[in-house]
Amino acid sequence: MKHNEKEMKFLRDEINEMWRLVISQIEKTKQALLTNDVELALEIVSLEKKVDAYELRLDSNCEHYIALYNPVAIDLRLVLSIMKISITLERIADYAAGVARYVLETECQPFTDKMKEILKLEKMFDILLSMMTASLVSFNSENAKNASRILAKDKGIDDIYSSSIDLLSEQIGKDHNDARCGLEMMMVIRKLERIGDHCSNIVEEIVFYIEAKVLKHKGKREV
Amino acid sequence: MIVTKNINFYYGDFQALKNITMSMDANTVTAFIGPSGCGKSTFLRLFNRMNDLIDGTRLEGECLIKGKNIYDKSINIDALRKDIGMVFQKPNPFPKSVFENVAYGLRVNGIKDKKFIADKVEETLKAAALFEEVKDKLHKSAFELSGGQQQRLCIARALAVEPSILLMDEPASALDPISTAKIEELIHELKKKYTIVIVTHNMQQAARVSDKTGFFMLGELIEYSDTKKMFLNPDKETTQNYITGRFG
Repeated sequence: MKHNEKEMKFLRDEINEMWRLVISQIEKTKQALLTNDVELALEIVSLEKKVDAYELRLDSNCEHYIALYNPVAIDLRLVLSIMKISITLERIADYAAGVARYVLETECQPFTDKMKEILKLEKMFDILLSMMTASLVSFNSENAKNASRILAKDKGIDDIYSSSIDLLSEQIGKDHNDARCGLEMMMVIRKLERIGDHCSNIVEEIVFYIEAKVLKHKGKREV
Repeated sequence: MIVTKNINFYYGDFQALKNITMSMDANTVTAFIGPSGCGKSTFLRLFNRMNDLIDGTRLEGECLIKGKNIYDKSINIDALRKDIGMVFQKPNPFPKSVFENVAYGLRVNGIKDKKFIADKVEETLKAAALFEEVKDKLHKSAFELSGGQQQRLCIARALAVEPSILLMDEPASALDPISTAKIEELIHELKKKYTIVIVTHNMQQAARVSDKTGFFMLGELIEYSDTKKMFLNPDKETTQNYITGRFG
C-alpha cells in the first residue's frame, strides 16, 4: 500500500469509528427514552465529548491530507465527503444528547406506553438506525445504488413527525395544564426528525463521493 | 482555432500518436498531461511543424489551424512559426542582451524602425510581466537574469512577433515556486490575447492554469474535457488512476 493510500485508509477508519459511535449513541438514546433510563442518559451525554473530539481530529487530518497530497477526482471527493459527514455525525450526536437531556431534566411524567405507541417512537428510532447503518454500508462498499431507498426512509420519519404534531396539539388543546410537557415531547420528536434530515445529508455526501452527483437541495425525487 | 483529425504520427516504425482527433478554441488554455513517452510533446510539436526537423518521421491525418491544414504544401513554414510561438522546458535566451533577445524576431522579419522596435520591446516585456524587473538592465546579457526571468524573456521573445498561438512545453518545470507562480499568472493574462497549449508533468499546474485538459497515454488521447471536470470527476478510470497516482 502506498503512503498516501495508508493516510486515506486512516481517514476512512476514523470516520468509521465515529460513525459507529454515533450509531451506538442513537441505540442508547432509544433505550434511555423508551425505558426512562437515567444512567444510560448520563452516559450518552458524557460520550458526546468523544464525538466532538472525533470531529475535530477528522477536520485536522483531512486538512493535512489536502495540504500534503493535493487529492483530485475520487480522492478529493472522498476527503470532502468525510469532512462533511463528520460535521453531520457530530450534529446527529448533539440531537441524541438533547433527547438524553430530556430524560435527565424533564419534570414531566415519562412517555407512557400508550404515548410511545401513538407517537411511534420506537419505529422512528428503528428507521433512523436503519438509515445510519445502511449509509455506513453504502460508504464502505462504495455503492450508492441503495441511496434512494435510504432517502425514502426519511419520508417515514417526516410522516410520523407530522402526525405527532397533530396528536400533541390535540392533547395540549384538551389539557392546557399539560401544555409544557406536550411541548417538551414535541421537541424530542423534532430532534428525531432532524436526525432523519441529517441522515439524508450523509446519503447525499455518499452519492457525491461515489458518483460525483450533487443531490443537495434537489430533494429525494431526483435520486 | 486548432483542430486535429485522425492524427497518426510515426518515428520510423514506432507509432507515437494514434488517431488523435480534438479541437482547441481561441483564447483558451489547453493542457496536455500524461506519463513520459505518452506522445503529448510530439503532439504539441505538430502545431508548428517542429517534428519536421526529425528524420524518419511520418504524419497521417489533418492538423487545421484557423481552418487551414498546416501540412499543406502551400504553407510557408517560416510564417507558420511566426504565428505559432513556442517556449521550451529550459529557458534558452540567445547570447545577446535582454533588449536584443526580444528585438531579434522583429529584425529577422525585416523591421528596421528603431523607435518601433524599442516600443515593441517595452510593450512585449510588459506583456510578459518582466519589464519592471529588467528596465534598468535592458542592454545587459540575458544570461545575467534569473532562470524565471530568462523564461519570461523567452515568452516575451515569442510574443514580439505577434503570434496568435503560444505553445509551451513544460515552461515551469525548471523553475522555483515563485517563478512558477509568475509564469502561471502570466498564462492567465496572456490567454486574453493568445491561444495557449501547454504540456506539463505537474498536474496541479494543469489544474490551475488550463480551461481544458487532454490526458494522453501510449500515444492515445484517453480523455479530453473541461479541466474542472477532469480533476473532480474524470470519465475514464484510466484517467482517474493516473491523476490520483494509482498508476502502476
